[in-house]
Amino acid sequence: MTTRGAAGPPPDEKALFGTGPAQLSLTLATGYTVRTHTDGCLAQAQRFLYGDQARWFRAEVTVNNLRPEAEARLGKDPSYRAALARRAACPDKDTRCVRAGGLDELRARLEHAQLAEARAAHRKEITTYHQLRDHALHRAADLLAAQPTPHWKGHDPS
Amino acid sequence: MMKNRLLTVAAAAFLLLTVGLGAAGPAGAADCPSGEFCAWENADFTGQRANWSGDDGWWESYIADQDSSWANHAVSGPGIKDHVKVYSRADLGGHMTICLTPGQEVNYNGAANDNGDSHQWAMSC
Repeated sequence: MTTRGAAGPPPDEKALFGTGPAQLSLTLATGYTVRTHTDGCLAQAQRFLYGDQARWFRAEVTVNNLRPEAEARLGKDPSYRAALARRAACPDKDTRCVRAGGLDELRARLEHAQLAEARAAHRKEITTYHQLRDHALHRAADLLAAQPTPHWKGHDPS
Repeated sequence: MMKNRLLTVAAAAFLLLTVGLGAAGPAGAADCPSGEFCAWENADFTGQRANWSGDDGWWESYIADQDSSWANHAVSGPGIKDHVKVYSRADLGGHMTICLTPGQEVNYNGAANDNGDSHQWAMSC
């Protein structure tokens, strides 16, 4: 597959994604500021489905980056940093040294805790995310139900 | 009275000029082909661009740990993996730094640019 998308030639980039400066933005705990456009077909589709493009954007971007946020918190944890230092101090291919350092177990344990913390911190966004997805599902279902049944020329309906 | 009006007109004209310039903006639209994920060497979607329609476990040297702006221009569809996940190490190692859906872009991040080494597409983050 050379183009990631539905079959047929890809839609015009500007028509789909909008032009000019991106009007919506959200700065994550990871430091990234994610932006998107309010013009273009994609933005229009999102307004139709989710009702409020800005609200959907903020909820979706937050929820999608909970794991990176947890990872970023991990990087600041002193016990994790100490384990990283122990790992870095191990000679090449010294698997016993690596295992003794305990980085993998610590990481698994801390990641779990940090993700839970990130989820707790963003409980509102997670709730909004699910609410708006529900809204979109109903909008999509209604839209599809209103579509006329396609007639296939030359084929007998089976 | 005349002077005040002149000042007001001048101020308005100045404002129009700066607003006009402002609209041109530091970051224009990200030029990235439909269906692809793009990363640029510099902020604001400038400099050398790398673009992919698929996954890449080993970013080329000109973009690996050189990336400073990103954009997801995948076209969504049934069964299409349109979420892109960027990782700090090759082979999806290190940690996931960011997950973007179509239409989302990042023009700069002072704390965490020049860090990407691999990425994959997925149905969700």
